[in-house]
Amino acid sequence: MNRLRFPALVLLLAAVLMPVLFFALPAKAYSATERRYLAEPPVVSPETLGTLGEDFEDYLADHFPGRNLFVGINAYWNFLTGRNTAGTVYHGKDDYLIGAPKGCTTDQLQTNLERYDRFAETLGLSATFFLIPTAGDVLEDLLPVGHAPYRYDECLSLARKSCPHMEVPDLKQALLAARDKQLYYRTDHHLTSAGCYAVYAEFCRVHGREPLPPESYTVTAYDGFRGSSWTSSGYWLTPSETLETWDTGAPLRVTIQEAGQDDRTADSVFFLENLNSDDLYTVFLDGNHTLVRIENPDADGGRLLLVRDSYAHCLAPFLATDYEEIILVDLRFYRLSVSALVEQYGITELGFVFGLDNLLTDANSAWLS
Amino acid sequence: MLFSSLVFLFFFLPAVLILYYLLPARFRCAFLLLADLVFYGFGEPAFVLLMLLSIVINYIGGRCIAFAGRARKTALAAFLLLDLLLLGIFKYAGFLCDTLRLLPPLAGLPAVSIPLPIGISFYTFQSMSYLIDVYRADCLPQRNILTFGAYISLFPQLIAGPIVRYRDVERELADPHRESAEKFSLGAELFLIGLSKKVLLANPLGALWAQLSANPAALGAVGAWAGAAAFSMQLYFDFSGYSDMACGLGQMFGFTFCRNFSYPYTAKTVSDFWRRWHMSLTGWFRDYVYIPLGGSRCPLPRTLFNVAVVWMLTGLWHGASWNFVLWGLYYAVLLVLEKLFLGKVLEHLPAVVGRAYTLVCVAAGWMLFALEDMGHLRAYLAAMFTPGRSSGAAAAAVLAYLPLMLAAALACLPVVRTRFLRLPERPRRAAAAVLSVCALVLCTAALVSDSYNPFLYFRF
Repeated sequence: MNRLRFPALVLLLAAVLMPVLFFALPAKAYSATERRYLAEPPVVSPETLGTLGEDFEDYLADHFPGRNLFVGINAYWNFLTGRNTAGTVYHGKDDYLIGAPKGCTTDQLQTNLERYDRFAETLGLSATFFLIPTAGDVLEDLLPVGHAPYRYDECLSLARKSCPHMEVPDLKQALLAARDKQLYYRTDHHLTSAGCYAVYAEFCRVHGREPLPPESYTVTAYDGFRGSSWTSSGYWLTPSETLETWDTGAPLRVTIQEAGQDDRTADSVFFLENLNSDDLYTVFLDGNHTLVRIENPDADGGRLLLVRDSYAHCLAPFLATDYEEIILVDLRFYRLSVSALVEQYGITELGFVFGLDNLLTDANSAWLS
Repeated sequence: MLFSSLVFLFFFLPAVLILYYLLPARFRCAFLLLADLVFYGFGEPAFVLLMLLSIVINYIGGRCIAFAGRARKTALAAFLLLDLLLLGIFKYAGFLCDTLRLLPPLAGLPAVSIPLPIGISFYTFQSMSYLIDVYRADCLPQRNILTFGAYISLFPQLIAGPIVRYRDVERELADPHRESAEKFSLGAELFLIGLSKKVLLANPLGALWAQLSANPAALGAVGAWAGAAAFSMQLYFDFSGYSDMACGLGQMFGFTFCRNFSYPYTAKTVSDFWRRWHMSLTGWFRDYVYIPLGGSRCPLPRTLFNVAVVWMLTGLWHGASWNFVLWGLYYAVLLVLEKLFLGKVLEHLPAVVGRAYTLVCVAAGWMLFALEDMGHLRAYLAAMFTPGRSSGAAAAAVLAYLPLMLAAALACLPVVRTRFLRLPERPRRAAAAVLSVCALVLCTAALVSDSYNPFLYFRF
C-alpha cells in the first residue's frame, strides 16, 4: 500500500482548499442573512495575546468560506438528529420558527415589574402593562413535541401581583380568542399587525373604549419578509412570508429623536423605504430608536407615554388613532429622566409594552427615573 | 489551540503538513519542535519558556543519569524532584496554600493564584518516564536536544496525551523513513473518527450536561441520572476523541502512539474499567509508582496501602482540589473492595450485573470529578439518590437529546467497529469514503456555527 486512501485525501483537500478560498474570496464586513456585523480581524498586541486564539477562531468562523451553507447544514443536522427542541429556536409545524422559552428564573421579571409599578405609582397616572406573550405561549398547537414549558400564565400572575397600580390585561387570552388570524410571524418573534390589532382591541375593552373596527383599516401586504427567528436559526429553507401594514389614513406625524442627531420627521408610521432593507420589520416606526413621537391632530384621547421594546413598533400605530400624542421611550438607549418627559409633554396616561422574553432578562428598567 | 478548531484544521495542520513533507528527513524533527512551540504558544504564549525550561532540564537530566555512574540514583532523584517542583509550583501551590490557610495558625498565609500551564501534567509525566527509563537502562539518553524537544513537546499529544513514553517512540524518532502512505491514511481516518467523537457527540452532550447540572434541584432522580449519563459519555467521547485525534496526527507524522482507550464502558468491574480508560496514565502509575512500591506481590495490608497511594495520586494528577482527592480515594475504596471480595463475587454473577455495577459506580464517580463545588456536588448526588420529579424544562432537555444519547451509547460499544470491519473490502471502502466526507462537513458546520466546544482534559 503506497497510495493515500480516500479519507486522507478528503482531509488533505479540505485542509488546503478552505484556506485558499478564505484568502481568495473578498472579505465581508456585514452578513445580510444573519443581519449582523461580522467579527473584525483580531489585533495582535501584548494585551491581546491571551485571547488571540479565541479571537482568531471567532474571526475565522464568521468569515469561513460558505459560512451560511455550513450554518444551515448544522441547523438541519441538529433538527434531523432529534435536537429541534435543544436550540433557542424551534422548528414548529406549518414552517413556524418559534423561540424556545427562556429557562431563567423570574427574579429579573419581578424586579422590572416592581420598578415600573413604582414609577406609575409615583406619577399617579392611569397605567397599563402590555405583557406580550411569546409565540410559543399562544401557538401551542404548532410547537414541536417535547418543547420546554412556556410560562405566560405564571408570569401574568406575578405581574398582576407586582403591579397593583396598573391594569395588566391577559393578552394571551385575548390573542387566543383571535386565533383564526395569523397573530405571529412565522419567521420572527414579533406580533403581526393582526396580532397587534387583537392587543389594541383588548386594551380598548379594558378601558371601556370602542376599538376601531378592522374594516376601517386599509391593509397592504408586502412579500419577502424573513425575521429574526429565521436569521438566528439557520433554517434557511423556511419560506419567506408577508408583512402587512394596517393604515387608518389618519394624518399621523412621526418625529424620531436620537442623541446628538437632528430630529427626523415623517408623515407616516410606515417607513416603506425600509422594504428594500434586510429587516422588513423596520417598516414599523423605522425600527429601534431612543425616542419617537407620534402626533395625531384628529384625536383627542390625551397623551400617552409608552415605555417599550420593539413589540410597540407595530402596536403604537393602532393606539395612535386614539391619542393626540404618543411618546415612545426605549430604555435600552434612553438615559435621561422619563419623569421630565411626562412633565414636558403633559402626559395623561402611561403604558409599558414588553415582550415576555425581554422582560425576563433585560435589566434596563434600572434607567427609569 | 484545539484540534477541533477551525484555525487548527484549516490553517495550522495544512501548513505544518506541507512544510514537514517538503523538508528533507533530517530537518523534520527540528521542524516539528518549531511547530510544537507555535502550537503551544498560540494558546499559552507565556508558558512556552516554561516548557523549554522543562525540555532543557530533562535533556540534561537524561545525560547526567546515564553518565553519573554510581551516583545515578542521586541524579535521578534530583531531576525527578526538579520536575515535581515545577509541577508543584504551577499546579499545586495555590491548592496547598488554600489548604494550609484552613489551619488557624496559618490563616494569614497569602492566597496564591498561578494560572495552570496547559498540558504541564502530561509533559512532566513524559519527562519523568524518560528519566526513569534512562535510569533503568530501558532506553538510551537522547543526544540531540532538538529531537528530545520534539519528543517532549510533540504537538499531537502535548496538551492532552496520551502519555507517550520515550522508549516507545525512540526508534521512530531516529528513523528518517518513519512516514508512509499507509500510516498517513490510517492516521487521517483515526483523526476524523476522533474529530467526530469530539464535535458531533461530546460537544452536544456537554451542552446537555451544562444545562442539567446548573440546577440539580429541578432534575429529579431520572433527570439527574440522565445528566450523569450525559457527562459520562461527554467525557469519554471528549477525551477518547482527543486521544484518537492525537494518535491519528502522530501517525500522519510517522509516529505510533499507544492506544489510550479500549471501550471502558463495557468493563465488568471497576478494576477492568481502569485497564480500559486513559490506559497511558494507568500504565504510568502502574509501572512507575505501584510496582516500585511492591504492587500486589506483598502482604495484603501493604497492597491495600499501595492501591490507596496510587489512587490518591491519580486523583491529584487530575486536579488540584479536594474533590479530585475524594474521587481518587473513591476509586481506591472500590478497587480495594474488589481485591478483597467483590471481584470474586462479580466473577460468578452474569456479566450484565458486573457491567451495570461498573456503570453506576463510574457515573457516580464522574460527579465527584465534574462538580468541584462541594455544595453543588451534594445537591447533585442528593438528586441522583432520592426520589423526585423532573421539572418540565429538564424533561424537555433530556427528551431533545435522547436520540443523540442512544447513538452515543451505541458508539460506546465495540459492535459498530466490528460490524464495519466485517464488511467486504469494496463496500467498506465506499462507506469509509462517504462517512469521511460527511464527518468533515458536519464537524466543520458545527465549528463554523460556533457550537459549544469546551475541552475537559485541558485543565491537566
